[in-house]
Amino acid sequence: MLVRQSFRVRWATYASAMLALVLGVALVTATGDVLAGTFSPPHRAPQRYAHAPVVVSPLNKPPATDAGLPAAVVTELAALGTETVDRIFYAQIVDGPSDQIGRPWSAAAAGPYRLLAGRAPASDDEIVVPTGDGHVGDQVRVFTAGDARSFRVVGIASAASFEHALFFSDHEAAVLCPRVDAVISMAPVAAVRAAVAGTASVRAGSARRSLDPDLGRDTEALVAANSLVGTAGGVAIFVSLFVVASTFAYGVARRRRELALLRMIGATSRQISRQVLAEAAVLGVGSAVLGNLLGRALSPPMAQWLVRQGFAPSWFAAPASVVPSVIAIVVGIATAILGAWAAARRAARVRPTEALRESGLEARPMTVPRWLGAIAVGGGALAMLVLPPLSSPNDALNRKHYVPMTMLLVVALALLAPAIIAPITRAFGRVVDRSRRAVGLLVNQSARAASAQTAAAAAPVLLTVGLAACLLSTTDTIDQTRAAESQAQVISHYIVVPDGTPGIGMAEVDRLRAVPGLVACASAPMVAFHVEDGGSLIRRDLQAVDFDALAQVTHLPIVAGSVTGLEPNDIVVDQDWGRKVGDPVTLWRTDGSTVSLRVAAVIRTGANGNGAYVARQWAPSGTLASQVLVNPSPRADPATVSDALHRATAASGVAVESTADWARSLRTHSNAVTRSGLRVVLGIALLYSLLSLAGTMLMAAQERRGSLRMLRLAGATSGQLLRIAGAESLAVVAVGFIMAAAAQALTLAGLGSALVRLSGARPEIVLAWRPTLEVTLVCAVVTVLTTLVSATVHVLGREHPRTG
Amino acid sequence: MDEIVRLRSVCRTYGAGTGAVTALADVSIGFAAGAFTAIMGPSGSGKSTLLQCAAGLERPDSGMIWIAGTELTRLNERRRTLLRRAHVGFVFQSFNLLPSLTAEQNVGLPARLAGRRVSRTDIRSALREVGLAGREHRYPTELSGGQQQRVAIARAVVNRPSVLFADEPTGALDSQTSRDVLSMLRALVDTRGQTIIMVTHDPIAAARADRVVFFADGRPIEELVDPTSGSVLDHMTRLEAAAC
Repeated sequence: MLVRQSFRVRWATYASAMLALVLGVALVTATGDVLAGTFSPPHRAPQRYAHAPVVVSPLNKPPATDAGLPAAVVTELAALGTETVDRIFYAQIVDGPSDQIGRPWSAAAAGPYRLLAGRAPASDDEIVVPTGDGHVGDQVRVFTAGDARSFRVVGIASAASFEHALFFSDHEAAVLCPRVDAVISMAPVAAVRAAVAGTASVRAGSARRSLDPDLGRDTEALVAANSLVGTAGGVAIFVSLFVVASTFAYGVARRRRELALLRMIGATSRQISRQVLAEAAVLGVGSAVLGNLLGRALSPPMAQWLVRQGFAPSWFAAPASVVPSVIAIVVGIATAILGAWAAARRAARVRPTEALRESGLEARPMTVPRWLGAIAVGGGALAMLVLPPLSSPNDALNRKHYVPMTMLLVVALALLAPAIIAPITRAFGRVVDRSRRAVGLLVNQSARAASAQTAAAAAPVLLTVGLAACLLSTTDTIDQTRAAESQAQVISHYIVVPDGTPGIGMAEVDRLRAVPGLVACASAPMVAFHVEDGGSLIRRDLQAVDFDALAQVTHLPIVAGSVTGLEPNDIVVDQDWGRKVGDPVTLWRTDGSTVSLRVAAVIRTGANGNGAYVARQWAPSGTLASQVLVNPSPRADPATVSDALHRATAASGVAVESTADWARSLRTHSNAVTRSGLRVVLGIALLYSLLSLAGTMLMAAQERRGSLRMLRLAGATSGQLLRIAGAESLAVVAVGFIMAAAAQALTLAGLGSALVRLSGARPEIVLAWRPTLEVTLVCAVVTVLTTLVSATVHVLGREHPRTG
Repeated sequence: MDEIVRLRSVCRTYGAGTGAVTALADVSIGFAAGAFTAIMGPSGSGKSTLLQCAAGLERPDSGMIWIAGTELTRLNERRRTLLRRAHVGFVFQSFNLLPSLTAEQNVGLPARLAGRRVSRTDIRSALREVGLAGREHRYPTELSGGQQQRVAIARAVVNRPSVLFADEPTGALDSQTSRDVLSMLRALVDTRGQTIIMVTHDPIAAARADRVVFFADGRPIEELVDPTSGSVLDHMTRLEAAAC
């Protein structure tokens, strides 16, 4: 009876918690459905090797992750009879799609390809292109890892959905790509397995699907969807827990007298806390069911949205499954009860004599458990804040580190809020007293008198503004510091970058380097493995560069050694490698060969993780350069050089940018995916806070009618009353904003010192003040509007006889 | 006569050090069953603290308190609540009804909290007894102050408590309504033999009691049996003069 009656009277109290929970459960249901979809992509039949009975592919075990099939295996398989060699390599028609690849024509028969027109390629300068990419008889230029060459189109093949392939003669394919990526065998599986003897993997039947390029792409695409949706779901749970907890805390703080009265007429502490928990449970069950219905309606559009935004592949859809719904309902109910737990404990401590006091003064707002909670959570947040700068500064840049750290910090501040509010309002009070205005005095006194209430009301503001300020300024600071660092390391005038191609072929690089008056240094990303002292194999990202030009186009943050006069057997490593100048380093390349190098210089790890530099000759064959830094040579005429550079790069799939332009785009385009994901997450948090703010203000207004009416009797005009109500709600936003600013200051202090340790340079601290102020403004507008509307209805409007 | 409430050497001090206020200074007093006792005294004389300690709401610093034969200073919070539930009723200056419940639901609440089945006839008759027949389904905001206080009285006595504590029950009422409420309390004593202990400022209210105990500086200093409003007023005036 009490629970039901309580809902009848306090619908406003519970409306916000209910909405938050409904939304939370809806999001958890929808994200659960979508996650279920990402875990089980639809089953598809093998594509690339659809008509091949048995396919032998390399094991690709580290360090030889890109070695191709061992020659011995190929020979063994040839001995078994009919076999076709497949190679997959970079080949792109000029102005064609950048994911175009080359393959030998004989392997096409194993897939879904049919010759639609013309004939198979017979000589080394003939190719077959998929339909839409040319006509029989066309002469086309094709980029390869080596030089761009001219080919004649002799046939048109049907297009495939999983790859954009150009087909070369088998001989030409072997020239372009000596590595063997797969062997299609007609021999019985058992015979093939025996011949291979475990040195390569043998696939038949549906296992051939794992060799399809779209499978990896899809899995990779789903990882992005998965992490975005997972984060959104996690934030939804966190925020609904937060909103439910602060709503119930607020409700209990407002209801102390009533609870004391119940205690007075014979309710035990346990009965009181059970009542609060029962209200939470009723709320939880109702919201969970509603939210689940909403969530199931929401998941198909959410899946479509992910596809539209490019977070998921085009075939992706969210299945309607039972497990996510059950989980969401359980999570919803558990969230309601957990969120109300602290409030219930607090309610149980209400003493019966409190019913006798007439004043609205609260008992101590900071209870011992609250202090303990604040210290525990705050300690965790501070540890996560302070440890990276002290020990492993890289962690501070990791999203999986700073997102939970920010959440902990916000919760700790919310717990500490009642203790913080007193000094804040005292400071305001000094200003207000001087103005001698009644409004200011009243607002200030009521905020201070009810600091637990103010704290609970300010919590949603703290949450959104805090999350927005901390996360956005953290990502922006990291991005800008990284951009600044990259920029500081490039001292060339020009940078040549791929234009519509995945990279720059080495022949093109060499042509560029041969242009008189230019100093050019290409860098090609490569992977190699390296044995740490402990004996474990570490994967390392390296840049293969032109050592002779490196010092003239870059300014590396050298800690020890020198990068001038580098020999081919030298290596430049960052501090993360833990090596000294002169130390020997053995690298395993991905083709399985090893190289013995000597450390010539050690550079700072930096915010980017500067990695390591080796001579270009160590890059595996077929590697493409990601950029070429170009400077005029010391005595050359800049104008002549610029002309020569532009002539050399015309129509060759590259673009020349001035370093200034490049730096500008580096700063604006960094990390777009992280940011759009972050915006989704912050949008959810904002939506929640607004709900909870509006609910809190509604309930405050409902219960403030008495005091406002009293003020009116004391001679306050309607305008003054509205100003008091409005100012009280603004004070709540101000308190939330100040605490959020404190969280931001702490976060940036930690991040800043980690960045200083990493890069040694002054970090570019970005305050992200615009989104922060926008979020604050939205909170303020919603708060004040809700308050004014309800104050107008309650105080100035006609008195309704039964609004208890 | 049996004493239903008894205090022995009860002390209660608020605060500590130089700011400490002694609310009860070694108080020993008994309240007879079936009697209507009024406690009077100037503000800060300790009369409200006495009521709260005697009702088991506050724990005294030292001393012992019995309600219906049970010593309660050694009971834990939960046991004291259960004892209050069984033996004590309360009426206060502000009417202390739950705004979300109807008159009938308010009256039935203590029994519900005790987990007992609520007899609707008992509730109705309790409300009839305080003159509120026909208003069972009204909410507190739909009742006048006097009516709300009568609901509170009905709620306090519906369980037949051993003792009814009243703290300024007429403090917020006009004189006519006060008289009605006092008559009702008097009638409970006369017809049911209800024990009542009432704290009041009002000599007219005190005059309706069987005995008046005057408090000053945390201890009882005088008593008046079968008081009239005149004799109470005399005593009050004398006490206040002595205090100056």
